[in-house]
Amino acid sequence: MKHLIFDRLHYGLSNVLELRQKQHSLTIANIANADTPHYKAKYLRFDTLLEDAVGNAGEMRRTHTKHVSGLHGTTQDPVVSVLDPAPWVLDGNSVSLEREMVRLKENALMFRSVTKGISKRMSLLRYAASDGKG
Amino acid sequence: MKIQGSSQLPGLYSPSSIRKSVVVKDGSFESKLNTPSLSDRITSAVRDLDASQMRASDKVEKLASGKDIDIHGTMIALQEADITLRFATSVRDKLLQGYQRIMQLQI
Amino acid sequence: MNILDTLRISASGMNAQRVRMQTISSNIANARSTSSHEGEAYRRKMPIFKSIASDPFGNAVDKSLARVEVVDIEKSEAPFRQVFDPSHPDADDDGYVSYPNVDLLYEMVDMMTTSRTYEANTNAVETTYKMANLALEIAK
Repeated sequence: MKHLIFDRLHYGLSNVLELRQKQHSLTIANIANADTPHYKAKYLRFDTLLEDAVGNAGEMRRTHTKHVSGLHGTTQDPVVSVLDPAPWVLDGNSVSLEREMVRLKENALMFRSVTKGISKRMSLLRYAASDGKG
Repeated sequence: MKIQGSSQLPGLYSPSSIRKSVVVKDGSFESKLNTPSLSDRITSAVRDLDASQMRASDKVEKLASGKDIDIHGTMIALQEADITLRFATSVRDKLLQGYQRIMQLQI
Repeated sequence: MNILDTLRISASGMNAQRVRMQTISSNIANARSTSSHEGEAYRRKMPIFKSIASDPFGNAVDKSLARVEVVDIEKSEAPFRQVFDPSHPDADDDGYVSYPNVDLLYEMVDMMTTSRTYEANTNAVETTYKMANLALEIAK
């Protein structure tokens, strides 16, 4: 019944929301460590992660949630990218509060957009499922 | 299902086709006006409905995967899909009503 | 080029202005530092900004839209202010002390433009965000 009504994209979108939520916690961690010496700002590699989440909904999910949960990834990590500090920064901290605040907004915006997409698609399905009375 | 003289029924979408079908040249109902049949119209309307749903899904997918972050375009496509679906349901209901009324005619 | 890139351009602007503000406060604080770890009087610092195309492979419009990055912090090579004061511990053999090449007047003006530019960037973020949310309102 599950795959009869909801398609691959539906589950892909919920994976994307999960990733966005993870990025939100990462950004929060970055902001919290804005003054921690040698702390490097961390971001999810959205350029590859999002396509995987949407395209391979189902199988990729389990392996990825394991990766994403680690907040202290290395530079080689396929999931988390680490920003190196600028050469003139003395304490080795690469967090820029401005960048993080804007990322917070950006992420919230994309979360809202994808939520709109999911809810609108579901309301279309609800309408069709209830024969135009939903 | 073949309804007699169905080609004379007003078009589903275009008001101009309504006007065209009213013009009867030789006074007979069976004039040869070049309008598509009702079943053709319904088929193409259903195809349009499907296309609008596909377009909306495609837009949402591209937005979520970050390939093309076009927020307003996606929202418009979703709204179009919604309106098209509602419109199609209304038209279907009306057509069924009409058909049932014809079937109940006492001859 | 999408609305997220627009937000990031504003973020890079805020970031650059913050670095500039840091150099200004460093300059003001050290306006009379006659010695430093560099072996001479403090030299005025200034950030070097560089504009980087957000999407170098996009169309003509995308290519012209650029964010700003701080590539380096340079030291001003302008001459020091020489003041005759033989009793000063940093005085040279002729009794002259080198005071930093910082002019407080310039620093204050720089500070004003920096804060205004920063403010403009925050307003740009706010407006972009509002626009995106308005776009979301299309699908209620």
